[in-house]
Amino acid sequence: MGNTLPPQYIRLVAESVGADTDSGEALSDNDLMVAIAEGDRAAFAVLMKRYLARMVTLAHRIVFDREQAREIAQEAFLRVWRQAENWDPYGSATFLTWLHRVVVNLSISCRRRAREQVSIDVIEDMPSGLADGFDHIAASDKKHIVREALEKLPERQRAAIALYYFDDLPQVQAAEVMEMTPRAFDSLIVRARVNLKKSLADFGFRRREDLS
Amino acid sequence: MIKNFFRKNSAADDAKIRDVLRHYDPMTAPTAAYLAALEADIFAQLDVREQSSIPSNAGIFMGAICQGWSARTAAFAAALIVTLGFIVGQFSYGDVPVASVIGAPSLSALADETSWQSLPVTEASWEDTDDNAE
Repeated sequence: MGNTLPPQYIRLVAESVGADTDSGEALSDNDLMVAIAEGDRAAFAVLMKRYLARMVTLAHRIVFDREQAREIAQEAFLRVWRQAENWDPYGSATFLTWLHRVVVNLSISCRRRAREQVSIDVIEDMPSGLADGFDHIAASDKKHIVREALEKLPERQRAAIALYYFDDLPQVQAAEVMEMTPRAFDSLIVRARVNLKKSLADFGFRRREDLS
Repeated sequence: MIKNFFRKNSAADDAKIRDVLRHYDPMTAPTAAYLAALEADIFAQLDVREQSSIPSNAGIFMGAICQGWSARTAAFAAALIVTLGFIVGQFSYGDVPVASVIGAPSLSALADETSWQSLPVTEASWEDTDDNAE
């Protein structure tokens, strides 16, 4: 890809040297992808500013490892750059759905690889199901407990929770990201909630009030 | 009766689940410095990948010959030809007389049989040349 800019994206060049970024922010994802396909790094920078934080956080919620999340986000955006030429703005999926899908798939693959390498010793260090009730809760950081409970979920259920509850995607769009029907996604979310409840119960959470 | 904590009965319950999870969200948002460093890393990766995709001179040459080939394909073809040439050279001039396998004498064998001493000596010797007439 060359670095020659078409006239309509000259304003994006101004952003790359620190000028007003409002114009870039006003462009749609598809507009930016067209510019990126022509080698426009300023457009790429705008797209990263728009979604990088969100994608790093999404990956982090699935892999629970900051360094791996960083690598996943990096790879996802490199794919954006490489695939921009092939991007179809009139395709069935929006850019954001596609980007979510790339990050989710990379994260699930990464997590599965990591899980295969987990030793028996690490598994034995996981909290047992015999939590000692409310004293245990009082003595523990609740955020840490929620994290542990989320981490015990299977990858796809964790991804569904991350997309639907944390990233606030509508159910239809979240289903599209996970490449499943909305009905199947709903079933996945229900299973995720049941497993989350079981995990939290292991730590002594029985009622909603326990978390409040 | 213990209330099922994560039972979803309505949109309101769903919203409560969302509120609880977000309230105890174990993940912290990345800082601006972290994101800036990550952006810089991504651009650095772009530079590395673009540089690594520049074809060699042989690739450019092959690309010029093979119109319609991509530069990367031409570079690959050039590298392949150089590698094959090296392998054939090793067989031909090295210790493995591959040509003898197919019935023809190898170049090394020919070299052994045709020594400089056996070449016909012409009448014109160095002494006869004009340069050495003195």
